[in-house]
Amino acid sequence: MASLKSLVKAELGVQWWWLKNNRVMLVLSFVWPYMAVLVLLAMGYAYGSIQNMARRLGVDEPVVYLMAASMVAFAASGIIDNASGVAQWHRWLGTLPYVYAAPHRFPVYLVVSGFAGSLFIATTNLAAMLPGALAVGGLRAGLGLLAVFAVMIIASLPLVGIAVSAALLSLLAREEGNVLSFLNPLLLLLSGVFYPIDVLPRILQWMSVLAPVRYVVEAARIASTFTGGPVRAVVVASYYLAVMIAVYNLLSLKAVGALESAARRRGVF
Amino acid sequence: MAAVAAPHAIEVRGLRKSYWVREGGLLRGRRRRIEALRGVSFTVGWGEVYGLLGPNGAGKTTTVKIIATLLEPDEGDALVAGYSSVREPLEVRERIGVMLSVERGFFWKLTARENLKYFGLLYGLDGRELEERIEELLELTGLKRLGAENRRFEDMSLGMRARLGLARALLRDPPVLILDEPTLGLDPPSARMVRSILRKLASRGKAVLLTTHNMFEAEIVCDRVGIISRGRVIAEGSPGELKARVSDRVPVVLHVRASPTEAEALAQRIGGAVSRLTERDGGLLYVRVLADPESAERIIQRAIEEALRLGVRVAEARIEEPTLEDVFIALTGASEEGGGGG
Ligand SMILES: Nc1ncnc2c1ncn2[C@@H]1O[C@H](COP(=O)(O)OP(=O)(O)OP(=O)(O)O)[C@@H](O)[C@H]1O
Ligand SMILES: [Mg+2]
Repeated sequence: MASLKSLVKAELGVQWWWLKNNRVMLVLSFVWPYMAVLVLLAMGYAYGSIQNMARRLGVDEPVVYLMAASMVAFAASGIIDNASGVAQWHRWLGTLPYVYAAPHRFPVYLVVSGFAGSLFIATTNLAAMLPGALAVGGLRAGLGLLAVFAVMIIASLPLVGIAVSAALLSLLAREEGNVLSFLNPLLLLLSGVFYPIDVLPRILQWMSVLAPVRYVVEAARIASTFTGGPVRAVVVASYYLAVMIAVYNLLSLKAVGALESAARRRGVF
Repeated sequence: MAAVAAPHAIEVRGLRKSYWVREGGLLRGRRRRIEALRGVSFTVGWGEVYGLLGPNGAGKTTTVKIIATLLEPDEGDALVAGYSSVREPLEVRERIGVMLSVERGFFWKLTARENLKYFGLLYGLDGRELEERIEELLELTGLKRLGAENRRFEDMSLGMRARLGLARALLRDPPVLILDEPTLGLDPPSARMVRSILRKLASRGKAVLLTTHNMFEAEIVCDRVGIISRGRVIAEGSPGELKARVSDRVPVVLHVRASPTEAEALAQRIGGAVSRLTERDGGLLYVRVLADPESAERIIQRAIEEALRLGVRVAEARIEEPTLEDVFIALTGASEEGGGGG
């Protein structure tokens, strides 16, 4: 059994080599998060003014909140996108059979690779946003951002099983694209990043209780109001997340097994 | 090497596989079943190069993918070093090196070295061991000599890509190698290099399974050959044994200076047996006729008469030893495009 460590190294390595050989992308990945903040600020003006939006969302420090929120928007549900993205990517490149024939269970590969991908994006985002947060909100804002980063990583844990299922489904669907990419906007809608949850229809409000990303946004909000402080945010969110990690992943275990053998019968590798 | 304990490196037993394909429009598509394999069985011994030889669509890639744990058969099983590809895929993956397509299968933006490093890590190698192995393989496959070790995959020639593909298959020094058309599209020096590496590996006790539709290749590198057609192995043996099967027919070869259509016309007139055109060589075309040994000389006589009538010049005419190609033509009914069954 090849060691997990070298697998992680391989996946982080390939991200890094890819960026190294595509310098423009490296620069862009530092610019994108700020562009996302600009989009969110523009949305703020749709509320009348930034202050208005801040009040509506219940936050004190709108810019810091928006930074944290856009970090979330980029990465918290990213594991689903990343696991499927990795699977599709390997199919396009023709590397899929060689990855599948490596001495790992393929679902393990997808988890590691999906994580490496979203971690990589999250870290670049953090590196890009930190100077901005420090400039606008000082040290506390910086710490808040770090706390959100930590919660965000935990927040993707409940989605691991779903991510692997989604990746296998996207391979099975024989579509040249990620068939479950609608899940991400849905998760973001349910997260309360863009709209306060209480303006959503009742049914979506109920669904949002089950969406792990929501708690990350909650943490971001608490961090930006500086009331409970980042530590409390992490504790509160972690409690809900721990339950979800167990329940969601146990539920998807069976699906993963069935999907993988269907994919192997169908000849997608 | 514990694996040698298994009597065969690869044992394929009664493989059957059908694919379902959708045909027709977006909404009113129909499902159609394509029978790719209809009971494929063969064995590959340790230290042996085994060639699976067959026309397009015969089922070569399907067979190879099943052995390499990438595809599950409908029936039958493939054992690698005694482990089942269907039920013990992880054990099998520990023992195989795979090469499926020459021109794809790597990261386009990464260099040869980076690509090998990625797959090495993926296959559980790391640190010093991996570095040394990569250097060794860059040397062995001639990539270093070609100055290609730090070139991006997208900038590499087909020959370099094939060498890189072989290097990846060899990363973990696996006892069993599974290669799907490893020399497809390569120029003679690259193909020769690949073949000589395969022979060397076999002489060190490794088992090599390769597929090809190149008869010449099968004849010079393979210890044994299985001819596969429409999802069945229809003949098996060493190249010599297979050729002995068609000793009741000898190939008559004519070198003619003619246009392809003229040569085709000539081939048709002297036909009866299968005749076909092969490679062009300094304006000469080759027309082959399979004849029974008694009538071979009479066929040459007739060919020259027909050529005169057509205004085609015969540069040379001779009776040859049968080749694997003749076996192949005799057994599969000549057509290159065999087509899948279904
Ligand atoms: N994924 C698939 N879905 C549907 N049909 C397939 C699939 N893969 C192969 N086939 C069909 O199965 C048959 C056997 O294909 P296979 O690729 O095994 O042949 P092959 O001997 O490798 O041919 P070639 O020399 O062209 O590579 C063909 O008729 C092919 O069209
Ligand atoms: Mg093939």
